[in-house]
Amino acid sequence: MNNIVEINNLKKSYENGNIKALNGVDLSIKKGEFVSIIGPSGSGKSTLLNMLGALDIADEGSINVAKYDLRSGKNLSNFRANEIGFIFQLHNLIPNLSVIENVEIPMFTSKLSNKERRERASYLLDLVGLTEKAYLKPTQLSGGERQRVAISRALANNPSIILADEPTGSLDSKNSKKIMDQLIKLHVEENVTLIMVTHDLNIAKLADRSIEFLDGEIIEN
Amino acid sequence: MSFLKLIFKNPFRKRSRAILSILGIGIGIITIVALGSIMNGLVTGAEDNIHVGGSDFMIIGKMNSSSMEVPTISSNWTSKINNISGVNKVTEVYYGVVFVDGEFIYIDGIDSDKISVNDLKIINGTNFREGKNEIIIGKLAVDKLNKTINDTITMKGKELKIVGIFESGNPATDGEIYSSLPLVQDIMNDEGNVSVLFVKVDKGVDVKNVTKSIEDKYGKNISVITTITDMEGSNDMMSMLNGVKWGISLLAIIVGGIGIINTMIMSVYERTKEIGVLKSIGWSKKRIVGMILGESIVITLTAGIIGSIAGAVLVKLMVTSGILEGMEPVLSISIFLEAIAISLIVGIIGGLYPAIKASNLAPTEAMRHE
Repeated sequence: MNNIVEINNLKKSYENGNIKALNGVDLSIKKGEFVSIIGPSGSGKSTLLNMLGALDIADEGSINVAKYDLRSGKNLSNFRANEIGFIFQLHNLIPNLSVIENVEIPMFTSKLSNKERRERASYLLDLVGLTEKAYLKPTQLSGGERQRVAISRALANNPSIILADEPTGSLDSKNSKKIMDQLIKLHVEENVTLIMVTHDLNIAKLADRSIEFLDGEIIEN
Repeated sequence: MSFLKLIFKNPFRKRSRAILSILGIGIGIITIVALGSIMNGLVTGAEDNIHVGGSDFMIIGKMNSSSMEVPTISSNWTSKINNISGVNKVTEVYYGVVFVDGEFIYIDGIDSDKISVNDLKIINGTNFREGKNEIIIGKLAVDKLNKTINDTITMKGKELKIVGIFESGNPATDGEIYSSLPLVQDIMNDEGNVSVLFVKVDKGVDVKNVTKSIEDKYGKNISVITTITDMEGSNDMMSMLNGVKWGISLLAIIVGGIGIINTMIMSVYERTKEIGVLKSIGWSKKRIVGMILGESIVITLTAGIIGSIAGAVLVKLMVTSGILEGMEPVLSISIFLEAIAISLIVGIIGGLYPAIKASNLAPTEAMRHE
C-alpha cells in the first residue's frame, strides 16, 4: 500500500459525452516513482494530468492522490497547495514580478513569514542555478531559464508529486536536457514522485515506467 | 514579498489604465470634497453669524410667510429680553443694504463700543463715533467701492466720512460697512427698530432654560435662534444644498463605480490564464477574491487620497482667485473621512463582481485562455 496514486475505472467526457477523454482508466503509482505518459495528441494524457492535479473532476470512477479523494470535490485548493507542484509547457510566470517573487507566490498559502518565504525561494532558485537572476523579471530570462524558475515554483510548498505537462515542449534539445537533468536530480534527491506527459520518446525513456495512452485508454503500462 | 505588496503592485501593471481609473474616481472625490467644504463653510458661516462675539443665541422677528422676509423688531425688545432671568447682555444690530456707486453693499448698525462683538479689528484709522456721520469699512469693501480713509460716501443725502478700515477674518463681513445704530436706522428709514438681538447668558446658566423662558413668554412675536436649523428658510436652503451635494456625489460615485468595474473586468479578462495558474498552484477562491478586491480598493483609495488633496487645493484656489466671493469653505477631517469612505465603498462594490467572476474560473479552461 505504498501507492501515492490510485485510479480505478476513471472516465471523463466532454461535449455531452461525444468526446471521451478518459475511458475507464486504471492506474497505480508508487511514492517516489518517475512515470512518463506518452501518446498522440487528444489521447487523454493531459486530461489525466489535470485529474491528478484536481484541476478537473472525473465523471465516473475513483481517484485518490496522496490520501485525498479527488472526486469528492473537497479541500481541492489545499490539496493543490500542499501535495502538487505543476510545471506547464509554457512557464506561465507572472511578468510584472521578479523571478524570486514568482517562486514565492505558491507559498502565500503556507504559514511561512515573509522572511521565511524569501529564504526558501532563494534556496529553490539556488537548486536550479538561478541565484544570480533572482531579481530579474521573467522577460529578461531565456526560455530554459524561465522553465527552471517554473520548476522552483513547483517545489515551493515541498509537494509530494510533481506533475509536468510537456515541460521541455517549447525548448531546444540543449535546454531540454538541462531541464530533465534538473527534474531527475530533484526527483532523486527530494524523493518527489514525478509524473510527466511528453511527446519525446527519448525523455520518456528516462522514467522508471512509461504509460502509453490511445483514445482515452492505457494501451501499454 | 507579502500578499499585500502583490495587491499594491498588480493594479499598476497597466499604468495608463490605472491612472485613467484613478482620474475618473478622483474627479468624483474632488467634487465631494469641494462641495462638502463649501457646504461646511455655509453652515459654519451661518452658525458664526448666530454666535458672533460669543453670543449664545440671537433673536429675530417672526418670518413673514407671504414674503419670506424676516421683519425688523422694535428696540423695546432689548429691555424685555434683558429682564429675563439668566440673561447677561443683549446687543442690538441693524443689517441694512444700500446702493452705493453702482454696488449693493451691506451696512450694519451697532453701538460703537460693541464692534468687537463682530470680531472687527480696526487696521487703519479709528472707530466711528456716536452722533457723527462717520463709518468704517471692511478691507474688501475698500476695493469694491474704491474708497479709503477720509473719503466720503453719500447715502440717502447724507455725507458719511470713512474714518477707519477694519478686518474680521470673515470675507463676507470684510465686504461690509459699519456705523452707529441710530445712523443706520435713519438711513434705512427704520428708526427704533433692529434686525437682530444677540444674547449672552450668565456664566453657569443653561442656555436652553433661558431660550425656553423667552419662547414661552414672547414666542408669538419673536423667534429664538440657537442653531442654523432653527431658521426656517435657512434650514430649507441647507437641506436643498445638501441634497444637491449628495446628488452630485452619488452621480460621481456611480460613474466612478462603473469605471472601476470596467477596469477590473478588463484586468481579470487579460489575466484569465494567470488566475488559472494561481488556482493550479493552490490558491483558494477566497484568496483570488481577496486579491482582485484588494486591487480594486488600491485604485479607488489612491483616487480617494489624490482626489481629497486635489479637492482641498481646488477649494483654496477658488478662494484665492475670488470665485467664491464672500464664502469661506471649511475643510474638515470629516469631509476627508467621508471621501475616503466613499472611495472604499466604490472599490468594494466595483471590485466584487470581477473578483467573484475570477474566483469561479475553472482552472483548466482559464489556462487554455489566450
